[in-house]
Amino acid sequence: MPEKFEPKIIAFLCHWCASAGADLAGVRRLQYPPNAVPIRIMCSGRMDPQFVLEAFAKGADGVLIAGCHLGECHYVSGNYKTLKRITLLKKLIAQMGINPRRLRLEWVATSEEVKFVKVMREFAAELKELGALRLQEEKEEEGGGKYEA
Amino acid sequence: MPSTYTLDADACLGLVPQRCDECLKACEQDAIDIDMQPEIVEEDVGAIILATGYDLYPIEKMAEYGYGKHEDVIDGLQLEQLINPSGPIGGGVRRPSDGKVPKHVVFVQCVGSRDPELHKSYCSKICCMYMTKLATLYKKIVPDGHAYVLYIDIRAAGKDYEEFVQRAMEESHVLYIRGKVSKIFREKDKLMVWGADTLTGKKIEIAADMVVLAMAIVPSEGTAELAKSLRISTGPDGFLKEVHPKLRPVETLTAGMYIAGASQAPKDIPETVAHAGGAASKAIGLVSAPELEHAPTVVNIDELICSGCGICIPQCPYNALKLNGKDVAEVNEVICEGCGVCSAACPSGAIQLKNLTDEQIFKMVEGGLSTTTKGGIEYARKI
Repeated sequence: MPEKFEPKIIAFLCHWCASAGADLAGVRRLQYPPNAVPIRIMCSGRMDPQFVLEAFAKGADGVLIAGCHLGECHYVSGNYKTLKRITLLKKLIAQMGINPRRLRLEWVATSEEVKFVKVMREFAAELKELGALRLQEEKEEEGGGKYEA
Repeated sequence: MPSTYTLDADACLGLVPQRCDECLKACEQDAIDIDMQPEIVEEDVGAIILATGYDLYPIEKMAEYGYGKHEDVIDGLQLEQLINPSGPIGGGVRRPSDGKVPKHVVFVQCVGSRDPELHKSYCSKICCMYMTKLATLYKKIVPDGHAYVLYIDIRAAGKDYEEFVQRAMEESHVLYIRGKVSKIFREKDKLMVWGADTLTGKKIEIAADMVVLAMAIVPSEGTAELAKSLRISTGPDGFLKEVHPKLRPVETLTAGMYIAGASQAPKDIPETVAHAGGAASKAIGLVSAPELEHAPTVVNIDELICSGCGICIPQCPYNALKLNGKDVAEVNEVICEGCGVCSAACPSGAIQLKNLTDEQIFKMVEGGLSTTTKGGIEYARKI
């Protein structure tokens, strides 16, 4: 592991809540670690599990998915679907030997820029602690499926 | 209340076997139909406006204010009814327990509102003004009475509103106290109102004859069920959600559905009238337009790839998808709002959200993680 490890995070933000919250964090000039690349999707329900797997395969150390709070989805119920999918996906990646803590699902409202910043800081710190994702090695060293989702 | 006569179903003989029909004989216009039954009318419409209004926060939840135990603790609407010249006592103020004219009336603001710990966090907006109105009217009816208004803040933002509150204070001599009530209890024939003056920090103790509570405003009963069946989103407090709080306040994300009045948020009458007018003109604009406009970001189904499994169909929150005769899924582009939930669920990748296809997202992921591409994390770190 390099001396100063900086994790790479792909953050999928829903257009209506999380993305707006992130915008507000910017408008308020709040500081948070620049480890994440945000990708805006219309609804967190747009999250195809493939996107997460693709991100891990391409070298992301962590994936954040942030949507509206449950019951507040702009598209009525999209985030409930996300919740179901991501819960299952965490079990799946655990079987692949990826620590499910590397996949994080958060609800961030438009007005919760402080929460967004907090999540970003926490997640970056957590990933620093976990170290870089080494797909092959992690699987061999630690044994696939050892993580509980 | 509209000023028309209504039949009291419990008292009318027409609804029980022995009918008298006297009113039918008296009405020259034949306006009364005693045998009218509830019926369901089905209509095909192009737009729906939801104006379901509000209810008062259940007063039973405010146990410390003694409602339910003390008859003389009433809500603003009940006092309004008492004062109304066509009300039960023909205008006037009497306290419910013994019919005496109350000499000391305490008006408590923000009951359940602006209380994020226990009740509702939002401001109900209309109470400051209607409590001022009721206190002024009370002082007109009972000039030697004392009216106390206990408030958190007076929010008189509106045309001539502040002047009205000032008049209540200066001309009608309503006593405004910035205070929070902690407890209301009965002592002999008085209601003791205990609280704290939040300016001086001192204890308040008022021996009142009647207490009027400004209950918080909540969405009317059944709003949640209605929103669910019409597939409209609601906010954290159950009010119907607009597309944009500032720029599109009367539209919902479900095409053809508009919201008006207090169903969206607490509103007073002028605001409700303006909001409803906006909703009506939006609805007229929709149904009278020669062509429907829609955002281009809807899903597209590749018929050659779609296997017709139908997994996407229950995913759609708007019922925009269906299987057509050829056993492939079909999208109604007018109803589709472009959330992409179906696209994520499609096992064969046949459904793609226009301008946000799987391929495009993969490229964004790749670009974001790239060490060379502008925008990639590594690239950003280098500069």
